[in-house]
Amino acid sequence: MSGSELAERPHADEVEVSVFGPGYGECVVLHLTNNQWVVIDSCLDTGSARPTALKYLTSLAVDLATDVRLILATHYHDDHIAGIGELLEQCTAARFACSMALNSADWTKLTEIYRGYLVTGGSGVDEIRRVMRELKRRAEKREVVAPIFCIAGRTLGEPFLTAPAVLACLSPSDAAVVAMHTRIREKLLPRARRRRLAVPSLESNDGSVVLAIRVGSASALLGADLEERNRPGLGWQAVLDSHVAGAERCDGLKVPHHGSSTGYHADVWNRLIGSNGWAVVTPYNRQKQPIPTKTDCERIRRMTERSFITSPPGWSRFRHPSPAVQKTAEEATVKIGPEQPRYGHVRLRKSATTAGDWRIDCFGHATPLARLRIAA
Amino acid sequence: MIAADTPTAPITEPRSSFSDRPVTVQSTPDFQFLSAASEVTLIELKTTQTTTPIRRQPLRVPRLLTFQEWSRLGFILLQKWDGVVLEVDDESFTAKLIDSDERLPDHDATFLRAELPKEEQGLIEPGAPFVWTLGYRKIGSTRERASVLYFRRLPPWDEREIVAAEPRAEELRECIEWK
Repeated sequence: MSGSELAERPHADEVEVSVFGPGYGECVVLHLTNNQWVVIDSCLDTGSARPTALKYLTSLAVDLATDVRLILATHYHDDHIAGIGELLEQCTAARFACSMALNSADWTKLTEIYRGYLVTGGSGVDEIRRVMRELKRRAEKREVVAPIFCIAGRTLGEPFLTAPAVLACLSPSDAAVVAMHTRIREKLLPRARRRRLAVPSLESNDGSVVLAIRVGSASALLGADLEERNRPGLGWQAVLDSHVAGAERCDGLKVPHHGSSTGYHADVWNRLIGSNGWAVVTPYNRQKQPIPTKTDCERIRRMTERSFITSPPGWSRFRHPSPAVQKTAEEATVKIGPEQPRYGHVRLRKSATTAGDWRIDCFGHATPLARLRIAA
Repeated sequence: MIAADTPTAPITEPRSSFSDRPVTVQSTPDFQFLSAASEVTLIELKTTQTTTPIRRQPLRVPRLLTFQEWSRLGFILLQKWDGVVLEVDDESFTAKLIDSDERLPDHDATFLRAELPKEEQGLIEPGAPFVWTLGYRKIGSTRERASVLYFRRLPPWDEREIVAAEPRAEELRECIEWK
């Protein structure tokens, strides 16, 4: 731990990877040297309910209107894009990027069908609509609005970023894009006479955008929510199969899919991450069994001792102002709890021009996994 | 639970209907289930009996009741959540809960599937909207704590809604170059 202050700006030659994960949601803020910032996904701040990235960048006195170059949604689940519309509205020079899996007529049709729909929750379609509104507003001002669609093999450098910063997309694969287009059409798009539901989250995250960041001597792999699917052309195996043997490994990993067993593939650690690499995991509490579990944490720790979590996984305690409701709700449920975000932030910084190690700071509830205590 | 052979006593019907299409709640030993033709089913998940149970007569209940309306029906509403099912397994389902009165933050809860009758099991799927109310049910001069969860029966998707969205989507796609 370096013990630096939260509001201390990175030096011009420093790369920063800041991972936020309050228990429901994930956001990664990147400084790719020379005051160029990128935001990957979005979650909401504990107190203000505004995008975490906005609060953090404002605290660093970053000029939102000019210095944020790119805002990227790795996939459409609302735990990854809450507040991304507001973020794009504030960061007026930022281009919007998302998965090629969302580049389909069926997806835009889905967002139009659900416009103003009365049932909310479970998906990020509303948030994507806000993004589209902002893009439309920019289009009316004759600005460049075309989204940058990410697919394995695409590299985001010039003109979006200034050299030597490069973001390489390792996923989704071609097969994943086709599979997601099929699922959007068959599982998400409403059909006449079918039951009216809120947009459900698709179970698999095949369309997630995995990124390798490289800036000078600094590198990191951002695993998004990609899982291993044990099917040809999909999941982490597809990434590994397309990865050039002997290619440069990354210094650390934003652990995929909240550290779950389905997001784990041993060869990701063995082939894509350097020895003594760091790892940061964000928890996901909005399910019966929050992740990462104790077993997940132990597995990650076996891969690297330099592993961190942004906040402890687990449901917050239910408290209701009415004792009768408190008692009845507890009796009527297996468990119940507020979506109580716990601010947690792991920040990693490293000079892009020298060979030194990363400086790692934990803020809020963030902690090294070695210090985390989870009941089995 | 209310025993099947307990004495009966009528519950005062509401003075006016709150909906154009009221539905009928039939009292049963397992509490309130709707007739098969109705649009909403009320299910009691758990209740704590505090007095001698009384069988009720069928009660006309509108959909989407407000706090005041619940009260007039003999139900003192303390908390109402709008829920959406997020995750389902063989034994339970987990849902996001949004406070209807916007006083509380969003919550999550896991319910046992077994608490719902067979007829409801097919309605438990990701994205399914429901209402969960907690409060006191008046029984004569006494009351009992009650938890009532019912899935919403919204009108099915209409072909016209879907067809109407297509040109709007195409226009948006062209405008923002989402292609």
